[in-house]
Amino acid sequence: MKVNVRIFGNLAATLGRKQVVELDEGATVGTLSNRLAEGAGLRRQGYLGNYKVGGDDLAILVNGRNIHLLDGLETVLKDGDEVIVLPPTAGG
Amino acid sequence: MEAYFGGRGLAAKILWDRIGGQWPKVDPLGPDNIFLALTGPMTAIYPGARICCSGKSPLSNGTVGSTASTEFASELKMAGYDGVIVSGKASRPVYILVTDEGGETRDASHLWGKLGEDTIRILNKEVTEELTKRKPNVGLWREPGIIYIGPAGENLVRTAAVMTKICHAAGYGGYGSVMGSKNLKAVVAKGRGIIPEVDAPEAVKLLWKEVHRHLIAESGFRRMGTGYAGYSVGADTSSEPIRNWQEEWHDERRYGGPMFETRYWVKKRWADFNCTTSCMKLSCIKSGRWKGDITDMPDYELEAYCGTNLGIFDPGDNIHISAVVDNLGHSGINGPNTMGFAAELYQRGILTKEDFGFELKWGDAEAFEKLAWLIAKREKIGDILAEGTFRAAMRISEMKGVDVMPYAVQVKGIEVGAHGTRSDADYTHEISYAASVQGGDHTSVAVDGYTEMSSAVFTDSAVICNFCFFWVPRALVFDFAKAVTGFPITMESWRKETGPRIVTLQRALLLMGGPDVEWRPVEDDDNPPRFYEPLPSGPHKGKATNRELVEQKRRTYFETLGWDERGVPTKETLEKLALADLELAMRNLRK
Amino acid sequence: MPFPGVEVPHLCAQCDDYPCVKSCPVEALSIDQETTAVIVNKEKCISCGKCIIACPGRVPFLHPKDNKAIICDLCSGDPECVKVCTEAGYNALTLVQEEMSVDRKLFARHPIEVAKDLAVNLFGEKGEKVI
Repeated sequence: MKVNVRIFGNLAATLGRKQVVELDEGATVGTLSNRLAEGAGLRRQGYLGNYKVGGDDLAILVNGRNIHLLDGLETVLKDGDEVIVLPPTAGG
Repeated sequence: MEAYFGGRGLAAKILWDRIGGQWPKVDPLGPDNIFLALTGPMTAIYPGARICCSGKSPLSNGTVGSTASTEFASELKMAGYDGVIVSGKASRPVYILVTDEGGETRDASHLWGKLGEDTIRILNKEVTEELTKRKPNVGLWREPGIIYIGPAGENLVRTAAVMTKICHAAGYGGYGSVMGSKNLKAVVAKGRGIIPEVDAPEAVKLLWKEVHRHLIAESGFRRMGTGYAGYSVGADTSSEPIRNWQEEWHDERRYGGPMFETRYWVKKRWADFNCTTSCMKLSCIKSGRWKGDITDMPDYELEAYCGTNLGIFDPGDNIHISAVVDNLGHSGINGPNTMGFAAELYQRGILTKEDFGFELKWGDAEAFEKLAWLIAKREKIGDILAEGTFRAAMRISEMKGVDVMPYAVQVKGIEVGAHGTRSDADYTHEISYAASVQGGDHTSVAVDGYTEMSSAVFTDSAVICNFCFFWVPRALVFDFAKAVTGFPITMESWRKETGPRIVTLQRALLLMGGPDVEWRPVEDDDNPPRFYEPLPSGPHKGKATNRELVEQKRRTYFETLGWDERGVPTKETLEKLALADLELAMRNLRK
Repeated sequence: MPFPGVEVPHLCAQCDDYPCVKSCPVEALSIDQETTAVIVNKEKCISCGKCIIACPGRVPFLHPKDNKAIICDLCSGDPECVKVCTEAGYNALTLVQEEMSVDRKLFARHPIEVAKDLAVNLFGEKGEKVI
């Protein structure tokens, strides 16, 4: 199955802005984040750049909903899901 | 205070309690509206002291927590007060003076009509002399803190800002006109006490040092502030308003940061009370046409709105328009949004030289200066433009028999900040503005109904500066909040409870609206039409905001916050958030 | 800060002729021979305010709580203000130990006078008009 991933903020430089990721059925957000890290050659376990995956500083949204309100990193993804990875942003 | 904290949250609660029963009938520019200038529990203790202005907004008919950086906030606390609440209307121009002895009104007829710079100069002298007279023996009185309005606020320009320190503004929401409607020229505070006690002083001292360590390491921001973004937001993220958002990309290298810094920046690490970041800079034009202008760097928003949005790409011209706009007490974002809107109508021949009294060509700084004055004084078409972009668009459509709403870049009455959504490369996306209870306010965008509850909703209520907050680990900030108040505050509690409570209350007030406009749920929870037009240029040419994603995310947003499919808070949600007294009003809005 | 951007640190210059000490009717002020700072004897101070008027820089003030005169005592030679400014990484206040060949009283100026000069330094001609 395929999910559409958009990455914002300073993580876009490392991970790219937009990608379609192919995953096995039943894959979770955790799986996806590992895949993103691998694809960018990031080695630090459980982190995307300086942000702890599943931590408070990185917002991961599945179809607009924050994973903290779903099943966290265990949230199961479906074909066609829109995933957004959002580091804390500064506006001004 | 535990439920609403301070600033934005507390203001909404006070407004609901005191005028909520009549809300749709309350005229924001009438004597029944209430003007609030509130601090929060963390103000002046945590780095980045700010004041939060609020009331029923003459633009959205809801409430906005509109903040500005100023010693007014710390002086207020040192005088022993948390805020100032003003209702009614004075019979003649006054200013309010708050000292350790209390508050009083003083005659301001000699100040009415004065520009920002003169207002500060006169009040500094006058108040210091008066306080010295009352207490001659105490020694030197440090200058008071002042928030004030300019001619724009005095003349009830709906987008007018509450100004402070010549170039800081509580801009969003139009509260300058609320002050003006009360004949209130300024509020001045001078305290001789110390900052209020905290719950755990030793912890606060330690945590302050930790926070300071993080902030002083932000060398990029300390060095440039947002003053380099006038170039980069256009060239890199393609999200900068250009000629009323007709374009969002440019590569004008003459508009780069160094062109501002080297020639114009005279003070490079400028800050307000207890601020480590010190991202501000002061600009001064010392030669040429605009000699004598003083303003801040300008910050990115004004580099965009008083610059590229008006077709201006010369740093000197941009600084000049910023200084003019600041001195008149316009909001530097909302005012020039209307000015850009007017200029596009001129471009299209819908408004003509006759309407203005002069030609209004893109890039003509002199013409835009004249326009800023025209609006501040409500002369000619300025009288209609003074109503803000949304209401001006309605009136002009009627007047000229042409629908000009497609050219209005605003959401629910509040003009949109200088970060477009079409390129998707900036931090604003589909529902950032569309679902926000504060409309086009770029400092407080909607994300997912959860994440943003512990950022802007929190900082606007704690009343601290975002730029002393973003780079600090959230856990540290919330530990600080706990150490100051003794309340069991966590990031989670803000995201799940306090934030949603405040935003739900704001949503209710926004939907109740009135007296001149009620927003249509879902229909008005949308982006400006322009954001659906494909970008005409640049590396993101052809992109536009995706309507389907907007609909999907809006639906999810409402769901997450426990609102119905039209974004009306449900009975269960109101009960859960201790807002049950809103149920009657909400029932009338449900279908 | 009589005008935004014109921030003036307000410090005691330790005038060579100590006009504040001379002005005190009850000899509550004295000079620390080691640090050259002015020392206030709180028990003797009668809160008359004469030292405030005598000071060209208007440095002394009466504390809001006990109404006694406060004059910078250089923290007995290790000023807290300098320590904290350095620790914070701002380095705007530094401790300088040197024999000055200049009359120290030249630095005893009312902060508004200093601000007016600073304003012109910052803003050019416009600076003449802002304070």
